[in-house]
Amino acid sequence: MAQNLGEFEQLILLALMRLGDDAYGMSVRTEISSRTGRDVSISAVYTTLERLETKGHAESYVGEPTARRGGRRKKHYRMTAAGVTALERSYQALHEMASGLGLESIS
Amino acid sequence: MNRLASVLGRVVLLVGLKREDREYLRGDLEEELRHRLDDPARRDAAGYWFLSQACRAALSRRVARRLHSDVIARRWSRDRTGDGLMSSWGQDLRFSLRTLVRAPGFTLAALLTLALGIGATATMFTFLNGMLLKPLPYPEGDRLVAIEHVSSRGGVARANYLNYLDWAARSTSFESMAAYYETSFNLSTIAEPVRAQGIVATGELFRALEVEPLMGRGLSPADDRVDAPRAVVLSERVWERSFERDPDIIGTDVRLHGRPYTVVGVMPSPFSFPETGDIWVAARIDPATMDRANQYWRVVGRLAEGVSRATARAEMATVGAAVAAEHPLEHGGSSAGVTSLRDKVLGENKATALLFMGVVICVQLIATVNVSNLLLARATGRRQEVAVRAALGAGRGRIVRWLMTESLVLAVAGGAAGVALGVRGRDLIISVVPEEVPRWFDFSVDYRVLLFLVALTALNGVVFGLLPAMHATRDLHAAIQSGGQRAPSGRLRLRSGLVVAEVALALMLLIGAGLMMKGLANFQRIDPGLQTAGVLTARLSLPAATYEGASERGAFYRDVLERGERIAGVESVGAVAHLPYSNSGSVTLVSPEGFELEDENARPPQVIDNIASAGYFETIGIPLLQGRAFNPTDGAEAAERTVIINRLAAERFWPDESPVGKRLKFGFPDDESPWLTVVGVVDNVRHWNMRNPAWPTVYTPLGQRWPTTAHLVLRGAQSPLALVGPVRDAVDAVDSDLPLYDVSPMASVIRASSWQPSVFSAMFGVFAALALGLSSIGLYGVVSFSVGRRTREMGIRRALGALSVDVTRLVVGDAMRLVGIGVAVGLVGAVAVMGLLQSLLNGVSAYDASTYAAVTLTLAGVAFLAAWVPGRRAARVQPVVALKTD
Repeated sequence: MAQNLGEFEQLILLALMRLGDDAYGMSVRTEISSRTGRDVSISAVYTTLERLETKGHAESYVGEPTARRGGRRKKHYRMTAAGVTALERSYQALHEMASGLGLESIS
Repeated sequence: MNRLASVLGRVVLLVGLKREDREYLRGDLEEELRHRLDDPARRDAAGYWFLSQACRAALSRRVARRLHSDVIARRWSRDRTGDGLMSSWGQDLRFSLRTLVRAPGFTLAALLTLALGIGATATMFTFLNGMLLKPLPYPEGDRLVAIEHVSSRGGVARANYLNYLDWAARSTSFESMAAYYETSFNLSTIAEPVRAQGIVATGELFRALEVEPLMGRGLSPADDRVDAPRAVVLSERVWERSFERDPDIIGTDVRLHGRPYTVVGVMPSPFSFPETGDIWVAARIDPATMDRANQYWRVVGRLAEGVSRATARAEMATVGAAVAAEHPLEHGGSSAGVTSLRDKVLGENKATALLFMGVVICVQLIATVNVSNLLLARATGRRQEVAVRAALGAGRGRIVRWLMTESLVLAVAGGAAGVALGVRGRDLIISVVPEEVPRWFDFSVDYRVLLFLVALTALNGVVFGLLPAMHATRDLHAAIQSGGQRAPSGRLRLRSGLVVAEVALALMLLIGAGLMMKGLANFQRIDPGLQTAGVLTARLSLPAATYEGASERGAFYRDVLERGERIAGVESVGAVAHLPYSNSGSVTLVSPEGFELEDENARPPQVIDNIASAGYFETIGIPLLQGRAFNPTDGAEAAERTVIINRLAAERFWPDESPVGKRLKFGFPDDESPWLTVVGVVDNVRHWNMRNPAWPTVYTPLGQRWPTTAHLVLRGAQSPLALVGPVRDAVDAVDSDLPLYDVSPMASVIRASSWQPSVFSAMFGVFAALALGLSSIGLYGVVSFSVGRRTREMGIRRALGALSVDVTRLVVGDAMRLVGIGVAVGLVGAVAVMGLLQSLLNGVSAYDASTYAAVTLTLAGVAFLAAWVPGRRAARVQPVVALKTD
């Protein structure tokens, strides 16, 4: 049985969708904090990314080292098909539950 | 500041992150940090941001991983390669805590056992540490030695002053050498005159001790000249108690024994010399006036740089013998010996402390063995768990580590509780020992004690943890195959061996305790030789300056005794120069009439030389056996000089006839001293202390001689403490400058001189009871365990017709076989080591057969009970139930 996504997981998956090929720990963090105004810690982002990876919603690949990173490599993330499905289902559920409550006016 | 914060952040990341995170996560943070530093709007806070992210990452990344169950599963297998060692320690730790909390019975038993064992050891170690390991309160105190007169028969004694001068002049092993003798001073010219311990010393003393004064200066050789002004150095303690830390004390005059002295220095706490001295004055002696025979000086020396005690000892043996050879009449055949000052002060306390350390180590061993046994039983129950972990890929090292963590957690908790118990134990022992603890020795818990306890705790954890852990994991392959159902057969043998060891140790301790108790009973049967009920004693000392001659002293004693008799509630009053059991005494030679020396070198018999008032014997309750007591006419003006002797002297000097009317004189038979007529015989008193036999004693009446120091003795109908105030008033009325000291009921005087047997045997008894209790629990555990394992076997036996009695007998018989082996080992061990106790046994033989037998029977009885309880349980098992298990 497929697990439901937590709120933070949803935010991260959405960030992965937005960032596409440029998605990695720090860019995800920046994306979320600039859009939602939340101060997210980089470690929370990594922990959640790893969890999403073990659940099969995301996958990672390692990039080349760069000088700006002190010669360290970058770990990129992207969504899997299962991740897209899970996000759609979660979003759907939220939408269903919220419909008719007048909450849409916020967006 | 940005720089500092970012450097700190990097340190946090380096320490806090795992390898993988150090690559990607730190890379991200570094990149972002550069971005922020490039951005003028965010530059200022960039470092702090970096640091806070680093801290959060370090904290949460570690925790987050653990919460992830599949990550943990991965680690169990990965750790076989040793990867992630530190983090899995933490995991083992939390796991151990959880499992220990889940088995409160086991945990409590193990902790209690450990706390008792470690607590006992901690108690004794604080004493050993204070006595033997902590430095003396002098710079390089271990270079200080005591130099003593060694008689031709090898006994040590105090030194002669002139000998000391020769020793100092002729030896090269010492940087400096000083002579001193202890005395107590009446310190007056302050609100309330006090009595303080101090010493009279030669000018070298402070040079030898090398302690810097708090204020002013120490004594110097210049103070020691005959014509030098009288100078005194005070301890910080006296300065505080009697002078309220008066900052202008240097240069003021104080009166000691009625003479003015100028304070030249104050020594800082905890300095004291000797162990409890507070006042130091120079001897100011003219060697020409000194006699070669008197021996009342102690000598302390500081070894020269690089000179060993052995070298100094060899040199002093030669120098001492040479000096003695020049004065054959006084010191023929004698020599000088060197002992470390610390050993000199400790005396037999060192041996006692070491003995008790040995005792607590036995208790500690039993405790360790017990916990080991508990863990073994537990490990057997966890066979299945071990098998599962092994099947999942955990290696043997990994499983041993997991089990060891648990025992270390136990050890640390038990050790902490033990330290708390140990401090309590130390305070308890200090409180029951009535002697003043020498200020040299500080029994506080310092880094040595802590280090020792940490080591002990760790050793404990490893020792009692490793055996069970190795056993539990011995054949992992077989464990996996049987699903943890079968236990390796060696385990019971190991547990049996541990029980044998416990029984043997416990038996040895119990025999020791039994011997001590018997010795105590012997001791308590000793008759002190006097009546303590209602008797108060107090001491006073007449300064030579105001009480120069016999007439002044006589007037004082007559006046005080008269006032004492008038105190309401007082039945009788006496005075004596040396009160029994009060560390006061004087020894002299005496020649009964008709006594002849065997040869030139022989000496007349030695006796205690005491001075007693007319009312003394009646007041203190020493029975008169023959003749009469002193009466007021035995004074100096009486025509005949009289003495009273004790029973021992009577038996020795005039074995077959009545001594009343016989004569004796002090000194050698041909001395000029006057003949003294014996008018009475009193019963013996063990004057020195209860452990030593009585000495022959000669009492001279107060009046023929007036001592400078004496004890007042008063007997009242009520509590002796009610007399304290009135006695002080009576003495005050005669001389308000005179302090009354050592005011104490006679019963307390005796207790203070004879506390050792009761305190030591109580301590021994407590430790032995602890050992018996612990080892019985150990035996009980082993028998219960084996009964549990053999339930099925018992069921079959019952089904085949065995009676329940047979089953019980089988179980108990097996257990008692172990006990028998333990008893045999313990008896051999006891015979081997009990000789060490001999000096504490008050005449009981260390190989007292009845004690050995009684203790062995007691232990066997307790052991039988410990085996019988689970044995009964085994017998009650219904055959059907038993056959159904497994």
